[in-house]
Amino acid sequence: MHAIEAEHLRRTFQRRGWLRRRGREIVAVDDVTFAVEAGTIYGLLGHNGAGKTTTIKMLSTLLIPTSGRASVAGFDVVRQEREVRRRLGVVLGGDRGLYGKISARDNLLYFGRLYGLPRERLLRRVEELLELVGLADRADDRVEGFSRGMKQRLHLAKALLHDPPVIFLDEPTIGLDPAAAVSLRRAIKALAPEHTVLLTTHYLHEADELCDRIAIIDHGRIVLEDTPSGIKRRVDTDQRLRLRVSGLPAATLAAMLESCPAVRSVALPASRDGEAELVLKCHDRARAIDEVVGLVHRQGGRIEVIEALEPTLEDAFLALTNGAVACV
Amino acid sequence: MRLIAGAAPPSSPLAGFLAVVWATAWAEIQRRVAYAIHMIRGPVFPALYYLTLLIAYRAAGRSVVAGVDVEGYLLVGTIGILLWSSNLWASGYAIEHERQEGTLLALLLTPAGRSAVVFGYGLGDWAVWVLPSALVTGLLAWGFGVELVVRDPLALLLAAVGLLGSTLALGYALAGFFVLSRRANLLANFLQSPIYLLGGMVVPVSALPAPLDRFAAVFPISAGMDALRLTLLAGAGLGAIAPLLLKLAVLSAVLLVAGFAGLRLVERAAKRGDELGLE
Repeated sequence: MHAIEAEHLRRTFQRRGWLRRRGREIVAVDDVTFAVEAGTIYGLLGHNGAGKTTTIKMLSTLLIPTSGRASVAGFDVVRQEREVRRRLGVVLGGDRGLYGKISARDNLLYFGRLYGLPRERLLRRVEELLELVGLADRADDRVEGFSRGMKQRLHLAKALLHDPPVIFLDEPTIGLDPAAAVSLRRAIKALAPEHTVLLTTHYLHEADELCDRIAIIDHGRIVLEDTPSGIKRRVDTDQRLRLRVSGLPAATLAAMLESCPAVRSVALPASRDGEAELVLKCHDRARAIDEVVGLVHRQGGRIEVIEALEPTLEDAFLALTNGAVACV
Repeated sequence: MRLIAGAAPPSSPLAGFLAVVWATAWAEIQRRVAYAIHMIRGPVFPALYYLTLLIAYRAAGRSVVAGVDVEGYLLVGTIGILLWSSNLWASGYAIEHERQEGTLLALLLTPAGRSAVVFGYGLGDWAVWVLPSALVTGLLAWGFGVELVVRDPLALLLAAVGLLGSTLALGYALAGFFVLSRRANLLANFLQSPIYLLGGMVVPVSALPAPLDRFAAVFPISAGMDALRLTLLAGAGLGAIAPLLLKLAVLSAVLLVAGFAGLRLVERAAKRGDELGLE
């Protein structure tokens, strides 16, 4: 069952020309189609300006699509916007969206009333959420004095107030210090399977850690959609070997290895504790191992470590968004 | 894994509307009382205005204006000033305030009615600024010997309700318009002081040159102040103010329609991605 569906979503903006005449058309989102299984975490991954936030805004009823259709929790985002809003919690990026001059508790109470929660349920829910996001001891402090991490946690609590089945998180950890980001990621991870989460981020490790499926979006289009491991497998990046060799200087070794036919390039040559360390990029890993082992032995060196490096999501992302490498 | 739950719809549209109005009013009160200076500055401003104008009239040798004592005339005029300022900077400025605070998108993401939020701002401002200020000014007027002549309390009540209702409608009409103007602050500042003169708050409309007095005829606060002056200072009954009340009702209805349309336009413009700078 799908909690979120987007079909051929397209969104263009008209840049005003001189004297407000119609200007150049900018395509922010172009023919985006995807579906998110209920109870899963789905990532939209892309560079700044790739179209992630515009997609989120269309799905959350803040922008009307130029064409295409979308639904959230079974309701159309254009024709049934109020029904969508009742079932949707959204955390927009940045630290805006909260009233600075009132306390964390009062912010939640106010937004809870805007969502129409009955008083008793709201009071109980606010205390639960303050506890959940670790702000119970700062509940009565004004939000203007909060750190960015605390504000983001309060945003998450706000998004969960009305217990929505679907939650959108738009770059929720941007600008957070590492400890705050880890804490927030833990909270996001715990949202599924009770909630369906659509997460946009440009932190690849975050998408890898949190998402069940990922769509990579580039210049407004989805270029690949799969599980994180599927994406890594499907991208035909260079195969890589990490090598540690004793008895030969790193620079000499690097120059020798570059002459092997199966080796495409040698990266990061360095010496550590008398051993040379480097990473080889190759077309055919098995053949490269044979050639490298033979060459090192012939030159009087000794291989301490040789290991295959698996492609990371970062490799896949860079390959796809640069358009340099074809998908298998 | 579920697709149900979330916020339940309100038991009735009116109940939902009123819940949002009260919640917004309370949040506005909390924000306004967050700093003591707001609470001190608020009532001082209209009291000083009242005093300044009273001294000016006395210096000019005037003790009666438009048929009533100058102390009473300025008391109602100051209430008009309070309500006009409240219109501009509370309900009129509500959506713009949300934009400046950075909370407008968060607000637009909720199922709450935008109109209820605007009215909530107006009510909150009445509670925290208009009422205390009117009370301080009233005490000041009493100290200067204002003479109240009330013969029909119901007429007085209806005049007060009509005045308050029409000012809320005026603020509502301005809310969307301010955001659409893209220069809400400049516009609000520009509109503030001339209306004191054109709306009959500091001098009678009859004293204005011919083209200007027409303005007061379509300005609802003027009609409301006339009704309040007549019932509070001249002992007028319901029959005497009925035409004014009717005028207030018609103007308020027009303003409510304009306000509704303005807010719809703002939301539609935001959804089209127009460059209103709503984030």
